[in-house]
Amino acid sequence: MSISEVSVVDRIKGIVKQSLLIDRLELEDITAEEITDDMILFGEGLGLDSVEAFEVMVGMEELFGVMVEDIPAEELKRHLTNVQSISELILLKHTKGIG
Amino acid sequence: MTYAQQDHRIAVTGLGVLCALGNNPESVFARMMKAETGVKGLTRFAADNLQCSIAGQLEQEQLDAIVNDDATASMDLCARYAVTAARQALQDSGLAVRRFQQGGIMDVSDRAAIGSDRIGLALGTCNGGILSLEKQWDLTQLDDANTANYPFYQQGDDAAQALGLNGPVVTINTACAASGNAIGYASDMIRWGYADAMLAGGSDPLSHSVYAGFNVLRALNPLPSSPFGSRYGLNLGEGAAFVVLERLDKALLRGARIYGELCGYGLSNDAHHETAPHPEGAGIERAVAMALNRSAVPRERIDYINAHGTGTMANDAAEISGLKKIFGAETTIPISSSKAYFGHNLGAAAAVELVTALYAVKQGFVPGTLHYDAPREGCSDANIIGAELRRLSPQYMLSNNAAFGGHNVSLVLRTAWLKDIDRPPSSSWKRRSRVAITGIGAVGSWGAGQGGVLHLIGESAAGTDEGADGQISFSLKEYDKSKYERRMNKIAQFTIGAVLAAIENAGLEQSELADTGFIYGTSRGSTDSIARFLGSVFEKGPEYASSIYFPHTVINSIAGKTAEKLGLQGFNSSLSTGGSEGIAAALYGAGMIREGALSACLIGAGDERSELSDHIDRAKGLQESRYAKTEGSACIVLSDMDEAAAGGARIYAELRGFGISHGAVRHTPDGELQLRAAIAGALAQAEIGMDEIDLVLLNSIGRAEETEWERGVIAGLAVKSKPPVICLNDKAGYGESFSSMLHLAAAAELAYHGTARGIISGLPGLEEIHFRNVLTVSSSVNGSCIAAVVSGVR
Repeated sequence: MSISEVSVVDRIKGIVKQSLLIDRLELEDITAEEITDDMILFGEGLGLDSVEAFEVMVGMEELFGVMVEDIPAEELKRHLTNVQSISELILLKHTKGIG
Repeated sequence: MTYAQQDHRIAVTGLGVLCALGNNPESVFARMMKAETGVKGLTRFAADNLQCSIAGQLEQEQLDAIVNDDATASMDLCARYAVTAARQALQDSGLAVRRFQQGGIMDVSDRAAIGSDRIGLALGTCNGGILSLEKQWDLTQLDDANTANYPFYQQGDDAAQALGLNGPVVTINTACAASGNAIGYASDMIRWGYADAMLAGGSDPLSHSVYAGFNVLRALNPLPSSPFGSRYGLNLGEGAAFVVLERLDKALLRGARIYGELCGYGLSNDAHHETAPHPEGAGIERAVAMALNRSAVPRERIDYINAHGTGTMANDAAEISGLKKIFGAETTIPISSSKAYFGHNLGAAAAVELVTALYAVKQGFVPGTLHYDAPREGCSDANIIGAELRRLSPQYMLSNNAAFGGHNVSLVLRTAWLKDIDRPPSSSWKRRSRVAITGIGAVGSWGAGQGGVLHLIGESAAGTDEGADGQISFSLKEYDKSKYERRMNKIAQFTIGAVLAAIENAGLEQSELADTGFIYGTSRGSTDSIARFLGSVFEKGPEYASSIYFPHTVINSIAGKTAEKLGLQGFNSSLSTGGSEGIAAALYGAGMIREGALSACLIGAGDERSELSDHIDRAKGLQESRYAKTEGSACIVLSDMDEAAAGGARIYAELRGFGISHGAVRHTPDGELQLRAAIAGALAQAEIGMDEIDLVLLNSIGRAEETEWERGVIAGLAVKSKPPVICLNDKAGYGESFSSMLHLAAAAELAYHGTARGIISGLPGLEEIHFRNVLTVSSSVNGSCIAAVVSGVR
């Protein structure tokens, strides 16, 4: 990963934490600073559930233009593990071209 | 006839259906026999950016016929579908509805004639008049004419109005279990003596935003669905279906065609998740167990099960698992899902599936599971009927449905030759319990309180913390954080708060909650959540529908969330009447306790203020009301009197009688008759006269001269002394569903104390009265009226 990619990933992470998670899911009990890059998002950790997972997926499309429809369910689950993995997926999709 | 003499068996004597496979049972059956599906390419709206573009739509010709019917032109399509199917069912039954007052006495030799006051309607719907908001596609500029057609209760009221019915009318809103619940509710209305016949069914037209909601939850199957089979996901459908239920003895007497006997039904709540069923099907298992128990039909007698079988990954295996718990792991009972024929019809699903199954059984067949290929995981050792209808004449069958919000319903029908009427009477019907009010809780501008409501109303009227817009500041997070969750809407917070307070007040133990019933009334649910969901669809586009708000577009989500947080797994329902929800829910729960089906039942009602709610008020003419609008929730606990007394519970009062009617429209002669009929019904059931009533608590909506008209009618009923008539809404404010519950709770409080002294002041003339019997009367926006007699126990 080049230096410019690192700063892009950091910017993506910031947007993921604030816009995709906190604002979109209206998380009233946590701040962006409290969400670490490796915090588990679903089930444990942040404690999100399946209905919220779909909101995250729609949000990725709306905020980043990233479509996840073609990704098999198990693989997608891995991508949605934490802020780090979501941000990497977004970067990957952008590097390879949107969609 | 008093309540204690009622013990009727229920016949299904008329069928009507409207779905993607046809517009009557015969044509639907013909196409089922040809293994056809009505699920095809979607044409009603664009699905360009969605993952699925098929649905079970009505044929254009059918739709045109409905849209061109001038008699229903002012209604939402949901009500119009309902009217079409209900008319069909009524015609099929051969019953002729006679207006109750025409020509004085009815010709008793005409056995097919039924007075309009002896027949009512129960409609189940998942989304009410949502199309009336979609038509506008902009929540900031809502017009009155369309918005007035949105409320859920409007659909049931419009359908009843179109058919000229004056019996009990209710809209059941338990999402995809709604029409099954409506059919069960309707059978109770007949068994409990409130009606001799009922139209019962469901309706849901195809909605763009609901389609978008299922799309975002990844529940849709882009291919024709195969329940229990290899292709996961559901197809949405649309339609309506109705049955005519009537007393079996009367049906036999008039030589009616009988499709089956509704032996009983069960309801439950998963108390698990707002959209996903319990993974082992524990909720549907409880509903089936209750249905069998109430019907007194041994499980070995069930020859066929029409399953919910949506085709989703979450549902089908869980459902089979639940059924196996009842019928055994090795069960060979034939099971099918009808959903691949015409799609998942949501609130109409149970009714469409029951009507088409009963018609098929009449022809000697049971429905198949279209597109069923190979069993999916979890369904491999079930006896799933494949794509062809099976030649089978079941003696007894089950019809099951499950819903968002965790609500489940199971109906038991006897479909064998019915002239032999030797079926044993239902076991649960042997008892005639008295009903005690043993707990009161309420959340309003006063915060959360218990043990009564009048002292709370008195306090809040003195120093209110209510905003000018009628919004209150109660926070469940502060009251009981363990029951709160992220984004919980206001009405769910109010309701959980009120139910918690009532539970504490009644001294119900945690261990008792799983079997305690819960019947909830709300006319609008969370309008704030609904607006957020519709806003996401209208503003951003259907592909960006909000998944987190979609589950709250069904208004049983409030009862469902309450059940989930409190572990209320027993008999669960949610209903709308547009103004008398609290008493309507109490009538339902009291009936269940009287017949011994429940020992205790929580009865709740609630409202939430929001921008959308203001729009609806304006559209419904509620701005005309003299009372300030408010929000909140109230809950009472009903208990079996003997059990409560034996357990040393505090008994506030006894619920002695109810009466219910439709058509109590102000300033009309018919309206006056209906208002009187509801009150007379309650007095007759309580076996007391109007002269023994010490006080009338009138929950009036308060539109121009409405309260005066109601007071006049009530005053005309008393022969000797006229009891004072008090409306609490000028002190407490008005909430469409909340207020009726407050009045009922206040009646219990006054009957308990026997005096108003020290409880509430500023209501002149009450100080000297000793309260024994309090009559509570509540009317709805469209003229449904319910009355209840509440008496002190000493």
